[in-house]
Amino acid sequence: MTLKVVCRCFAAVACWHVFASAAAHAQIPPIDTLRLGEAAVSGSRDSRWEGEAPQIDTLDFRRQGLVSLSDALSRFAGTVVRDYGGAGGIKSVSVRGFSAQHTAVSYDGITLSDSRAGQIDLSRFSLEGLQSIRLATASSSTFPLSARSAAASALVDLQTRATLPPKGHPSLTATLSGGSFGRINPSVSYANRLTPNVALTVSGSYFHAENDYPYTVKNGSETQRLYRKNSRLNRWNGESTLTWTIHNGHQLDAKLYYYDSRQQLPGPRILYKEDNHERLAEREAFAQTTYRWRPSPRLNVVWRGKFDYRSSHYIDERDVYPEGRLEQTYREREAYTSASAAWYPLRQLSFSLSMDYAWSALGSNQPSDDGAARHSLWQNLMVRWKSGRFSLTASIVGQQFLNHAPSETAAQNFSRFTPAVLADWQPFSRSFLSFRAFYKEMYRPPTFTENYYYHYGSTRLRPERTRQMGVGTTLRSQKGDAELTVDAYHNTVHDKITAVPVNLYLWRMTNTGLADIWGTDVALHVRRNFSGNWLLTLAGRYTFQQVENRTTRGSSTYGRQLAYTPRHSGGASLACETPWLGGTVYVNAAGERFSLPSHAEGTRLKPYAELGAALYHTFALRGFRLDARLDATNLTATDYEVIARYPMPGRAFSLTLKFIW
Amino acid sequence: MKTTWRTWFLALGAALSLTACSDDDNYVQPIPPQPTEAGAYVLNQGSFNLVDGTLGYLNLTAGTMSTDDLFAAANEGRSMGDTPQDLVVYGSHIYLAVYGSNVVWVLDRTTRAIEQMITTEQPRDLIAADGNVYVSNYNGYVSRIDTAQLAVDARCPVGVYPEQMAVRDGYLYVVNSFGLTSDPQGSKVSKISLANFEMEEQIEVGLNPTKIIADSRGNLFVIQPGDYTGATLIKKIDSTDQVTTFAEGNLIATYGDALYVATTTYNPDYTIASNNVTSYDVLTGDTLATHVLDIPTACNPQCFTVNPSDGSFFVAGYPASDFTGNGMVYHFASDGQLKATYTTGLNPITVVFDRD
Repeated sequence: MTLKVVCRCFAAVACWHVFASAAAHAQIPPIDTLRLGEAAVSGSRDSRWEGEAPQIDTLDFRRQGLVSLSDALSRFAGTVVRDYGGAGGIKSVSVRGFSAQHTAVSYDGITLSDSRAGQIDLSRFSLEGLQSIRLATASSSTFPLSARSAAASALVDLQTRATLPPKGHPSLTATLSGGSFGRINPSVSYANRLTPNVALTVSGSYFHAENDYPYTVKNGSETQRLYRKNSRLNRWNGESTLTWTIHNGHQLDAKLYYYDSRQQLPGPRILYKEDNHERLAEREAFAQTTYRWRPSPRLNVVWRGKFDYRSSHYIDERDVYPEGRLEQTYREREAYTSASAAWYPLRQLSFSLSMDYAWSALGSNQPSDDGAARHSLWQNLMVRWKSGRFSLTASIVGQQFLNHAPSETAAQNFSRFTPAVLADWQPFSRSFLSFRAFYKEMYRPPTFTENYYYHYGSTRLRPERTRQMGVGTTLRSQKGDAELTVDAYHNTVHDKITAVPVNLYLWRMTNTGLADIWGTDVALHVRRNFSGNWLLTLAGRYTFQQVENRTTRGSSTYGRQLAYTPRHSGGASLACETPWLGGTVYVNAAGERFSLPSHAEGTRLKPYAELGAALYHTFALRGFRLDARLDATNLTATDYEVIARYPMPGRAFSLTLKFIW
Repeated sequence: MKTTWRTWFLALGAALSLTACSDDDNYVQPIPPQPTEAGAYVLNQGSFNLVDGTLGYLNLTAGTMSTDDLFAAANEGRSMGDTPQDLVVYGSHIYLAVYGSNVVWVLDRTTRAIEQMITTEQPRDLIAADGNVYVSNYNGYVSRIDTAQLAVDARCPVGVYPEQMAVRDGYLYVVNSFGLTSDPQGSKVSKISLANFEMEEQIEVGLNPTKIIADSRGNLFVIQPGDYTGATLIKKIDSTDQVTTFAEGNLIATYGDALYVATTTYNPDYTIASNNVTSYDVLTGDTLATHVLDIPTACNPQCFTVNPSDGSFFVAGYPASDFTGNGMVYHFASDGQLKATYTTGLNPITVVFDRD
């Protein structure tokens, strides 16, 4: 793409932002601000979802025995969570056979970004602060959606807890959680309505874990019981959200977020050697705001903005380095703005238009990475026709990237438009059965690491292209207490970014990979109420994914399942709630996986099934409420690894007490 | 491999009859008869921090490659550990340096059973000389293993990131590579007196020397890839420690009076364009012969060695297209004809000849 085209596009986005903000400032006479204010605050979701976008919320957290966000995401059909083990191990989520870089994660509607590594570590978010988690794939869409979210192959949407007290009465929640392997996790959250139109939430949490869990190593005839070393983790985070209902139809949400983490890295387990001296300190601070305006029932305008700063400081202290240590520091900054509008001109017809722009820059003590910067522009136009029980959504996403690098050649610039279509049909007037079909093309730009990392990055990389097509059906019982969804899909990844060795010591990123994906996701939810306030819930899932390498015919990797991708995975949880106690048991299982694409000897990871249980109860005490919960994970103490050489924790217990005033 | 035939040359060097080379396309060098090497160990590196190394054995008489890990087979299924780097057969023992696991194994030469586990930090390369085995430690030392005690009895600081070693005239030479941090100090060859085991001087050879071998005529040859973006140079250190640029190429071996240089050339998309071998006269630097060996471009060569008993070549490497698959070993006759192809474990790093 030429520079001229890029400039024209940036001019267009600038105009659009001026229009959007001017429109947002137009005065609308206030009508019953109080009522609308309440409605707007309690219903934090302003978007309507079409198709199938499964969701897990606070009730499911305990009914499914969820202990972490990565745990929650692994309970969706179609996902594969990579987990380096323990509380401090990196956790990332792949959806429908794509690498984790294709999964966008949004936090209260605004995409989290890591332009350096390109994937979000989910271990840093605790379930405690979350209200709901939604997984949006090609088989779902929402109005209006920010263009950046629309440009992701899959979207994990995190909504923070927005509990608001009744008028004039502040609310305080204090939680103390602790458990095996030296874990202690206090958190506190305060919410108050400052005026009838302004609500404020402040929360903070601290997390400490020794993570020195035992694991078993078999070496020939010997079996050794070892403990993870150099694994301590300290992190805390603080967050504040302000919600202001300005006028009828105008609402502003503003959030400040800070996160600080210091951890030792235990590294992979290695025979005959147990010590490791790596440490990592990470910080992130961001401010984000969302302004919603509904000038008429037919128009809905949303403006989003964010400034994000994150730093990472890696240290490896060993005498192999002449200076005694290796240090790598990175500082990422990103400014982001997004304007979107949904317009409903007819009862059947609706449009959504959005334009997003971000400027991302990387600073580093590594000369090859220092100063890398990127202007990104995303545009999305969506049209939906909904007539009776049939709806058709067509969308086009434009992505443009303009790269800068002061010290060397900048990475290639790109501009490409990709289409998506989603059809949804309910054959019967009572909506117990629906069918959907979807097609979606998308691409992701190379990350800064893929472009610039010393001796490894390549500025010649093209974006990685994905194509998804598939069909799905949802069957609901008439009373809505049982739901079965089945999706089948065929995806491909072209120009897959892959590291290849140029010579013995020099590896380069290339676009040589080609992956072919066939998959089926099945999810079942059943809920049954009995007399005497008894409740039974069942959640089950099964995923089949054949994710094959189709790069070079005749090579040892051709036609083989990609590394760390189980062909079969699934699980189930069964909860029983009584007036006295709630309890759940669950199982998560995955078939064999391989740590290398060639499936060479020594790379097979054996199948596993992990069993867990939880007991919980809510006590209504004088003046406050107490939620108590006891969790047991990996009850059978199964030895397994999700990532080769990163053992997972064995049996662990944790107790959580949550006081709510 | 290198160490073994280096030892052979040290022992037999004086007796070698040196013949001037012809300029025809023939690899055969007239050299005196040597003990027949009937077999060779193939050390497979595995995958760093992911798959442990394995030991294979190539029976040259029968032309068969073992399929099992001989280390595990001889030691109740135990694994040698993470990322082995080098192997030496010396006396009645086999010494095996395992970098990621901080271990040098001492195995019985006949049964391959573990006799001693020597813990030493980040062992890279091994060489045997005068009743000792020397280990270069990546954290800046060369350790000396007393082969009677099977223990480290001394270590000598040698500068940053030492790699391969060579012995010449009572001195141990070790290259200082630029290592994990592109250290500019990694541009030297350190010279250590074997008598008092102290470093006497450092010879500047250019950025990032990674390998060094001695020939039969008192020369040292150093591979110097620099920062890996340009051509890899071969430097010659003559008997007076003067350094000159000798040739270009990736892997080297000596046989008789010739230096064999294996060179891999790449296409712009990083696929391999060709693998060829050139031989040079070590005294004059004249090119003796260039052969494009029939090494499929699907192989990225990692190890190149000459069998001292018959001058035939072994090339081992990993598959270039999927670099994570099983490695291959090619055996070429001394005239460059492909004799046999074998499959081995992940990332074969060295081929070491031994009897039986």
